[in-house]
Amino acid sequence: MDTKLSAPIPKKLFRYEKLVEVTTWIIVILIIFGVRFLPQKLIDNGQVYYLIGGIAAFALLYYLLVYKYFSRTNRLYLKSIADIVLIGVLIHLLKDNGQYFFALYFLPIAAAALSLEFINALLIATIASLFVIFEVFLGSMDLLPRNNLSVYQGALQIGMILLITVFCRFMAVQLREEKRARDEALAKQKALEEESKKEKEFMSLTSHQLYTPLSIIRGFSAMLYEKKLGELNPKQQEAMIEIHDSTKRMVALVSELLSISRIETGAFRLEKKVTDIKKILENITNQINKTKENKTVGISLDCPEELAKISIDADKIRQVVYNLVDNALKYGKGKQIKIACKQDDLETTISVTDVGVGIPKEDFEKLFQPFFRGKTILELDNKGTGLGLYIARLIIEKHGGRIWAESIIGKGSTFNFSLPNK
Amino acid sequence: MKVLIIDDEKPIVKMYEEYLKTADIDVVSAFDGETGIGLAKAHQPDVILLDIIMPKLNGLDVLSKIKADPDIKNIPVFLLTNLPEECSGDKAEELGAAGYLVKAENEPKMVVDVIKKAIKENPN
Repeated sequence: MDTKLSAPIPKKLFRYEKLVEVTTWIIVILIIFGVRFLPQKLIDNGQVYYLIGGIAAFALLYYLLVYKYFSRTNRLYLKSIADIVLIGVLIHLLKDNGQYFFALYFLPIAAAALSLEFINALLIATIASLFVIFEVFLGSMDLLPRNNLSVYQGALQIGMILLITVFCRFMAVQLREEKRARDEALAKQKALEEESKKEKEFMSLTSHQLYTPLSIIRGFSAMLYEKKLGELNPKQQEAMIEIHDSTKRMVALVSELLSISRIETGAFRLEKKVTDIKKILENITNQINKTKENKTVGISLDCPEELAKISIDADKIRQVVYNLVDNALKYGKGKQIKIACKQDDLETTISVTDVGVGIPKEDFEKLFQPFFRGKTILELDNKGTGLGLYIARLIIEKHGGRIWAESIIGKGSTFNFSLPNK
Repeated sequence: MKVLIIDDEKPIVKMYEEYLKTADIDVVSAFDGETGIGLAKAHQPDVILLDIIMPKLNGLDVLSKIKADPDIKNIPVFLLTNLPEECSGDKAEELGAAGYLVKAENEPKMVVDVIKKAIKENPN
């Protein structure tokens, strides 16, 4: 009937329900026994026994049958009506003093409104209201011992009943909503963690399977190539160089594919820290200038004196800069390479410029796609994997930044990326 | 200079054995963790190279056993594996590994450099 009720019930709501229920019963029992000690005999003995018998029979029936065979909603429904009938009878028996106990009606109504769907809670409220009207009517007709309940008081009480229903209903919906949102968020997080764990397991298995034979080939080919296993004749040596180079390329390709897979599936996370990016660039420049083969090229760094620290994953950004510099070294015709940086209020931009062959304009967009190899690039070198710039793009985009190229054919290219300062 | 290699992959062990011998490093090897720990105690190598994915006892378990044994806990242990560092790097560092080397990404020459550097820094 109501799918919402089959959703897990918030503990808080359960506690409120139980509190209202227990309070109702305690008050009812106190009244039944309490009135006996008053000087005035409000309820005579016979009536008390009927009442207690009635309550006991109901409780027995409820826990033996209703509790066992009825759904939660129907159970609450039945119980609320029984509570109202009981309270109605009690108020009636209390005669003139009944009006003081009228507030008792509010308790089962509140309990119903907390637990039941709005329409059902409204039905309970209507039944309680009908009881009030019935009492006012019968009282005025002198068919019942008068409760001194005027039409005005009756209307006020019905108003209260409706108000309580709406208020409790509202509270219950709020609590359920809160609980649902919390559960959903938890489930989502759990699913994400599960996914990431599975992904990592898959990745480790794949890389292990691919890397193990490759590392054996790489190791033995290095030994042959380094003549650790004896001299090779010139032809064998030539073949060995090819095998060795190809293995290195294969390892690079597998490593890059694994990186991409990690980034794309979300198994890869940035470990951002407030970092002095200038220091990173200085380190890279010094490192590259130190290696022999780059000494002739030389890399210059052009950074403003004051550069605010920004929050980045230093290792990943270093990887991006290395990648861009590596490309510049490859395609820069052995001429000077310049790394520059600038910073405004919002972002920090790094650029790597070479005076190499340049890139045709129509290739700009495709440069950052996986496996794209420009024509001029293919003429110069066919050993790259075509994944470096794609990985750079993924890393920069993960940082919330952007990466782009500018180039003039024959004059050189500039690769830029900017990172948000915060 | 003596190095212990613990790796279930026989061709890998053979390759490193050959390579390290040419660099004047004595090699002892074990194809499983239990044997590896026994050999470490018996031979007291200068450096241990340890694989991660192995049947029965995996490399990280072997590492924590080595670090818990007063006889051998001071020997620098390098994980030499084909698992990406993201998978087990943190765990290895936590357990006290001296380094993490991915086999396919490091040529044997680099592994030798790492071993020599570690022996220089840790002369016991």
